[in-house]
Amino acid sequence: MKQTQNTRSSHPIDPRSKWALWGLLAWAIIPWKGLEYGLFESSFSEILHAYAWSSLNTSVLSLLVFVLFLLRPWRSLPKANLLDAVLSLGTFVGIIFTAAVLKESLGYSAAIQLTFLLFIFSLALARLGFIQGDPFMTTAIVVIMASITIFVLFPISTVFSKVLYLEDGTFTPMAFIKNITSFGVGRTLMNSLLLAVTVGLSSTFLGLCFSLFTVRITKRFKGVARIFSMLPIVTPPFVIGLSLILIFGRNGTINDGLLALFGNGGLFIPSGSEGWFHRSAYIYGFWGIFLAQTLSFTPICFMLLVGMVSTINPAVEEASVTMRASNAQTFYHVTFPLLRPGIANAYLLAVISSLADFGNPMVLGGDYDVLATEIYFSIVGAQLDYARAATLGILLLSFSLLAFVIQRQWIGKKSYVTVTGKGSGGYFQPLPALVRRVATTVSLSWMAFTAVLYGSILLGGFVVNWGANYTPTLAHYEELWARGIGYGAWPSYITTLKFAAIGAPLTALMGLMIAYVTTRKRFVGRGVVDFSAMISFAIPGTVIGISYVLAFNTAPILINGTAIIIIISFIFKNMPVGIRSGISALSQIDKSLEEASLTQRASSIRTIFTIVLPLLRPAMISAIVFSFVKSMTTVSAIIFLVTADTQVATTYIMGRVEDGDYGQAISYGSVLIVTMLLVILLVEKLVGRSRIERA
Amino acid sequence: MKRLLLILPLAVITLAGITQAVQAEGRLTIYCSAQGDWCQKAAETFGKKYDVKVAMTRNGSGSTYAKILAEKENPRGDVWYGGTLDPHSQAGVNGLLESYKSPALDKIAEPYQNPAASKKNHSTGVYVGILGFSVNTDMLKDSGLEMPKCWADLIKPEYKGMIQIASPQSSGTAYTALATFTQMWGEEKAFEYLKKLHANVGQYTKSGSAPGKNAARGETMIGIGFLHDHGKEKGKGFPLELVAPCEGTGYEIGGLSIMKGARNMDNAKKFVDWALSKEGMEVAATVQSFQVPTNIEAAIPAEAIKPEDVTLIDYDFVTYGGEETRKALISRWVEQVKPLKR
Repeated sequence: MKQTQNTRSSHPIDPRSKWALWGLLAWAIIPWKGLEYGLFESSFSEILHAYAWSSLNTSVLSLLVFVLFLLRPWRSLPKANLLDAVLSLGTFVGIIFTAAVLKESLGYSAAIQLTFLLFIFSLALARLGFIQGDPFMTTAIVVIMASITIFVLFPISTVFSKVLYLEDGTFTPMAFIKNITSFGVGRTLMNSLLLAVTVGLSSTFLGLCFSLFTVRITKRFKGVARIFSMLPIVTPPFVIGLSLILIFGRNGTINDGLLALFGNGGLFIPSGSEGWFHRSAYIYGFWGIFLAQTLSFTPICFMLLVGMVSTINPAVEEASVTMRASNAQTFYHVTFPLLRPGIANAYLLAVISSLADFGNPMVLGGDYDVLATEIYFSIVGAQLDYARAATLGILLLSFSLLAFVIQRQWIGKKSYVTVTGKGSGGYFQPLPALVRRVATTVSLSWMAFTAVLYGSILLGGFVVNWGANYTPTLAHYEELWARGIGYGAWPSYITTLKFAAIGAPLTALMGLMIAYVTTRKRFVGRGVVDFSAMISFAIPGTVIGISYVLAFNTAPILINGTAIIIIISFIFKNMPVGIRSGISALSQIDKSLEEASLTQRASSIRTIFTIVLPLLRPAMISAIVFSFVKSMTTVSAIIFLVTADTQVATTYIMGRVEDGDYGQAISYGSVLIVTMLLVILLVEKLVGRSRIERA
Repeated sequence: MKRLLLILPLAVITLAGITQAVQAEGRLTIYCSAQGDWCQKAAETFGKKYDVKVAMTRNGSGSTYAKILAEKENPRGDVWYGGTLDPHSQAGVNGLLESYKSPALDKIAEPYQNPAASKKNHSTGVYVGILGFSVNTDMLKDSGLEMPKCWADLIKPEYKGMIQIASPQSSGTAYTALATFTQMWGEEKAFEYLKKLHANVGQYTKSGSAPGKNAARGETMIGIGFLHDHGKEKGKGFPLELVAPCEGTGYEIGGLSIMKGARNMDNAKKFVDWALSKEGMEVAATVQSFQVPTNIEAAIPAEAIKPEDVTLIDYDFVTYGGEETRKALISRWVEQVKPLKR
C-alpha cells in the first residue's frame, strides 16, 4: 500500500489535483447560481449576477476545497486518502445543505463542480481499496449512487413524507392506517392485481410465441413481424385506447357491423321483427384495459425474449438431440429452461408495467378503478389528498417489489450462460409440432388484429369525425402541419425529438452501468442501487411528476420549469428498461471472459469497452431505441412538469383529446408512430444488427 | 480545449446581450384551465396587445391546483385563468393567492365580483357555465324513447344504462351536480335521487367533460355535464340536444386569480384587467366556447344557454366550495351510492 502510494505521488500531477484544477476553471467561467429563465433568456446582469465571484455565496466552500486539493499539503500524511475522501464528500454534502438553508439555487457550474468533487471522492475511495482499488468502477458506482439518491430517493421521500405529516407539519402516523383501511381501497387493490397478473400472463405468452415465430419458425415474416411487434410501443398513450373505442366502442365499427346484420331491420332479421343485437359498451372496464395493456406490453416482452431466443447456443440443442432426446424433450428440458430468466423478466416487467399503467385505464377504465388512476385522482381530483395518494402509492410499490422478489427466487442461482469464450456452432433443432402450431397461429392472428387497429388509427386522421361524419378530409393534417414552423404541432414535435434524443443514450448508459455493477461487482450499497432502480420503475408516472415538482421547485436544486427536469425524469423513469435488458444479457455472458481480460492486466475501462460493450451491443441498441421511444410517448410523468416552452407531443395530444379533437389527436399520433418507426429502422440500418445475434 | 473554455463565457454574454435586445416588454406566465384553444387565443391576444412575452400552460383545474400547491414555496405561474371556482376557492383559503381588486370589477355582475370562499377578492368570476345534460338525438330516435326534460326524467327505468356522468371522486363537474342536488332537495332526498340515478348510469367517467363527448359520439345516449362543453361538441356537427333541466339547476363560475408572490405581478394585474374587460371576455366565443361572460357589457354568444332562460338555484359557493362539506358529500357518495348493484 505504502509503496504504491509513493510511486503514484512521484507522478507529475495527482489525478485528484487535476480534477481540482478543472473545478477551479468551472468556478471562474460558468455561472454558479441557477438562472431563473435559463441561459438564453436571461439578461446580461442576471447572468453576471449568477457568477460565483459576483457575490458572497456557497461557492466559497468549493473554491476553498479545490485550492486545498490542488496543493494537497497533507499528501505525505499516513491517512491522506481517508482525509481526501472525507473532505470531498463532506464538501459535496455541505454545499447542497448550505445552499438549501440559504435558499440559493445551484446552477451549471455548481453541478459541474459537485461532479468533480465526486470524482475526487471516488479516486480516494479506490485508493482505500474499494472494488479492488479500481478507480473507474468506483467512480461509476459513486456517480450512480449519488444520482439515484438525488433524483429517485429524495423526490420520492418528499411525497411519502406527506403520509406522515399534515400540511401544517403535524406528525400523524395514524393517517396511513386510516387511509389504507378506508372504503374501497381493498377493491381497487384487487382490481389492480387481477389485471396485472392476467396481463402479465397474456403478454408474456404472446411475446414468447412471437419471438419463437420470428426467430425459429419462419424468416419470411421477419420484417413485417418486427414492425408489428414494435407498433404498440411506438404508439403514444391514448391512441391505442382511442382506436379500440373506434373499433370496439358502443358506436364503433364492430357494433355497427353487427347491428347492420342482426340489429333492428338488419340484413338477417326479417322486416318487422325485433333484431336481437343491441349496442353495448363492453369495451369499458376490465376487458378494455386488459386488451389495451396486452397490446402495449407484449412488445416489451417480445423485445426481451427475442434477444434471449436468438442468443441461445445451438450447440446445446444439438448436444441434446445427439444424445437421443426428442425435439419435444429438447425444447422442454433444454431450450425452455434457458429462456427462463428471460420469461421471468418479461413477466415481471409486464406485471409492473400493468400496475403502474395510467393511460389505458384512464381512457378505457369505465368503473374499473385501479391503483394508478386512483392515485392520480387523489391528487388532482375533487379531493386533493396527498396522504391518500401516497398511501396508495406505497401499496402499489410494495406489490411491484413483491413481484420483483418472486422473480428473483424463480430464476434462482442457476447459470444460464451460453455465450462463452468457447466456439459455438451447429444448427437449431426444429421445435415440437405443438409449439410450432400454437406460436404460428397466435402470431398470425395477432398480426391481423394489429393491422386492423392501426388501419383505423391511420384512417381516423383522414375523416372529419369518426363515428359521426366519415367524409374524407385533410383538415386535421393541415391544421397541425401546414401552418408553418412555429405553429400547430411543430414546436412540440421538435421539442419531443430533441428531448428524447438527448435522454436516450444517457438512459441506456445509466441502465447498463447499473446492470453491470449490480450483477458483476460486490460492494456496499449494492442492494440500495438495485432497489432504488426498481422503485423508479414501479412508481406510476404521475407520482414521479408530483414528487419532482415538490422536490425540485426550491433551492438548492431548482430545475422545475426547465427542459433539464423533463430530460432527467425521462432518464430515471425509463432507466430500468436498460437495467433489465442489461441484466438479461449479462446473465448469459460468461464472467470468465472479463476475468481473462482483467488478469491479462487490461484496465477495467478497457475491459468494458473491448469485451463487455461489444457483447452487450444488442442490449445497448435495444435500450437506446426503447428509451428514445419511451421518452417520446411518456405522458403521466411530465404532465406536471411541462411549461409553455417545453410542451411535448404527448401533452399536446392530451390537450387535443381533452378538447374533443379526436381527429387531430389521432393524426398527430400517426405522425409520431411513423417518425418513431423510421428512427428505429434507421438506427438498425446504421448500427447494424448485433453480431452475436444469430438470427 | 482551454481556449474553448475561455471563449465560451464570452459567447454566452454576447448571446445574452442579443436576446435581451429582442426581448418584449416583460413576461407573464398563465396557468390556464379553460378550453385549450381559448387559452391559446387569450394568451396570444393579450401578448400582442401589451407586448408581453406570454407563456401559457394548460391543465385541468384539479391538476393546476395540485401544481400551484406543490410550487407554493416558489411560484412559477403568475395568473390562473379559468377552470371551475372551487379549486380557486381552496387556493385562496390556503393562502396561495393574491388579493386584487381590479378597476374592471364595476363592469362585472355583482355575484361574480368576489365569489370565492375567502371573501378577500382572491378570485373573480370570468364566466358562468350551466349544469345540465345532453341527448344524442340519433340514438333517441332509434330507441323510440321520449326526450328527457327534467332531472326527474333521468331516473325513469327506460333510460337504464343510457346515462353517463363523471365520478365525483375524480371530477369537479360531478361534484357540482352532487352539490346542486343537495341544495335543491336537501341531502337525504338528493342521495335518494342519486341512488336511483345510479341504477340508470351506464358508466361513471373520470373526467367531467367526457359524458358530453361520449354522448356526441354515440357512446352513451345521455351525458350529464356543463352545457358549454356540450355546445362545443354540437358545434362540430354531432347530433346533440342540450337540455337545461326543468326543476332548475346549478352552475359553475370560471375563476380568475393571481398567484401570491407572482414573479410578474404588474403584468398579472394587467392581464386580469384585460380578461375582465368586454374585449377579453368576447375572445371565448371566437373559438366556440359558449360560456356566459360575467362582464355586463360583453355580448352573450347566440349559441350560449342564457341564464334568464333557465331556473338557476342560488348556489352557495362558500359552503359547498369548502373542504369539509366537500369531503363529507363525496365520501357519502362513495360509501352509499357507488357500491350499489346496477
